Amino acid sequence: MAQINFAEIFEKLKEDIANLASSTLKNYVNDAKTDGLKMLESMKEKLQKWTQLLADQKLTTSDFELLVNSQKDLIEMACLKQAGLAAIRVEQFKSSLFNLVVDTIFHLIPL
Amino acid sequence: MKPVLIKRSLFSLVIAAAFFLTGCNKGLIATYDQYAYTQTTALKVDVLNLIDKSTESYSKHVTEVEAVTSDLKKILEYEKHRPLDGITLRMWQKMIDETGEGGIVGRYLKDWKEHDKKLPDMANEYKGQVAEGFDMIAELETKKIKSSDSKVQTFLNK
Repeated sequence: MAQINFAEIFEKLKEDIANLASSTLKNYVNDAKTDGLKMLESMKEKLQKWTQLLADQKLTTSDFELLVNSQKDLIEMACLKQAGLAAIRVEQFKSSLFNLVVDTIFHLIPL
Repeated sequence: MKPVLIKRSLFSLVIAAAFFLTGCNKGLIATYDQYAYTQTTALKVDVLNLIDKSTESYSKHVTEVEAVTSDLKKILEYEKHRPLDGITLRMWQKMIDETGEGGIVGRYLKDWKEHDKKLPDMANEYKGQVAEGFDMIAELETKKIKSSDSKVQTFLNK
């Protein structure tokens, strides 16, 4: 198995993300930096595995890129899913409110 | 309860209901759709089976690739026409785009075609990514409100 220093690679990635945030998002550096680091942490395990597979030539460079790109899409999908769940919670609240109105009226008026 | 109290309570409720009905009755997200859920889980199995075969020559599986791509495009089209379903549609578009060559699944199939065979570790790792994508879509669908469950439907249909 090829020897790689993943810890060093990961630290370098953290540093690059912080720099990227500083250079591209001047007004939102702190938020962007925090979000970027969180994102990186969430894919740490996968990245470590893929980096090792790449070093062992069990993945090609284009495979590695495909995997990383798919992870980017999955992160976006996770955000969309959260937005969807929030919308569902609002809908549930609306339903409960309707039910409350209906139940209260039915309770007050003997039918 | 005194008649005046009943009147006051009813008045408040009618005001609240009227405000509510006129103000925010459009809905934010589609209700649960059994067909969409079944298609999502069935397509997950089909795509994962196809990725298993990607360690073999693409030319041997052209027909299967075309069939699965076509099914994915069909669900994309179906989602496009579901009202209030923008979020799920955007999630599907992350899996495959209209050309069939973009998105998590589309890019993989295109790459398989270009390289003829995929390495076993790649197929294995990619299956995990694809499964995660399908699971997110299915989970969101199951959380959507079942329209038949609600008393509201009964109330509104009266």
